[in-house]
Amino acid sequence: MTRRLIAGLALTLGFAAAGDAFARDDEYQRLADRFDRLAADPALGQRAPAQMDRARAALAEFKEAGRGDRKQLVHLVERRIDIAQATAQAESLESQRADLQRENDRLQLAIARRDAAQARAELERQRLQSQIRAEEAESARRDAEAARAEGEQAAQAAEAARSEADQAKRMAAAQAKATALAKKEAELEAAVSGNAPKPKPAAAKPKPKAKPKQDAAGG
Amino acid sequence: MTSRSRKIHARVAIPLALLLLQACSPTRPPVEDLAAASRGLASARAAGASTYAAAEYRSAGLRFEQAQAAEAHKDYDAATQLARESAADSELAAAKTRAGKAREAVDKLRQDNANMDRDLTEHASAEAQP
Repeated sequence: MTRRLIAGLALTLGFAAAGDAFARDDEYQRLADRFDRLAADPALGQRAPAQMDRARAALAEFKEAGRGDRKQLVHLVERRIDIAQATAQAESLESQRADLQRENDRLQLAIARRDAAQARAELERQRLQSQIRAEEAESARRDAEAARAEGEQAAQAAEAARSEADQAKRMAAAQAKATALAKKEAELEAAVSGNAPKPKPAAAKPKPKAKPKQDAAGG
Repeated sequence: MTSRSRKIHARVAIPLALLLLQACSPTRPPVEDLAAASRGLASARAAGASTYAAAEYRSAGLRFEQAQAAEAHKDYDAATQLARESAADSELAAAKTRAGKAREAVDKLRQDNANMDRDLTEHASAEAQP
């Protein structure tokens, strides 16, 4: 009787344990599949190795745990897999950020170089413009100087011409005077010698009228 | 009941009784687990988990409060379990926060780089025009 009771109890316990084991394996399999998918993910599987190890260890602990412990462990195993996944995603994104930051640095450098080249070109353009303006100013100054010098020369030439004209005028006047005097001298000489032709009345100086004798005797 | 069956009962009953006694015996307060949960919660809050992982952060806070209540009722097993779950939730919230911040930075850099690239391209094509 007792033996049968014990055997029945053992059989019942055995069936219960087997059913529990199947249920536990289903739960374990679900978690293991989640973990395996994460581990096989080409973008995330190789990242967050420490968190992956912790998830793997939690999964192993879950597999070995008893029924009561499993109820407590299931949330933690889920969380360990979630944490491994989130950490792997964070690492993946941080890697992308590092790549993008390098690209950002490269682009910033390219823009800075472009801006510097533009600034240099603008500076060179302004320098050339300034040089052109300076050359134009120098040319204008030289032209003005030349014009002023030319004006002075013209004035001097005019002055010289005026002076020369005055001189010629004076010489002509002197010549005319000399001619007149020579003519007068010749007339006078002729008058003195008596054979000289009488001076033309027009040319002769009017003689003063002779005083009447009467006046000279009586007076 | 024979003497043999009595012996068998004694062999089964005594270890079972001992096991039950051990299972029902009071455990110590989970001071370290609660402290770790509190630290995890503070760390997640400082990282900005309330913004980037609000659900996980709320869950961590709720489990921590439940752990404290269980400890107050001297239900140390529940307090330990809840404290560990809270710590795991906080850790997940922190990891998601880290990922969220990295994603924001990636999006911003991607946009900035696209703008700069466009700027350079447009400038280059403008210079190439006669």
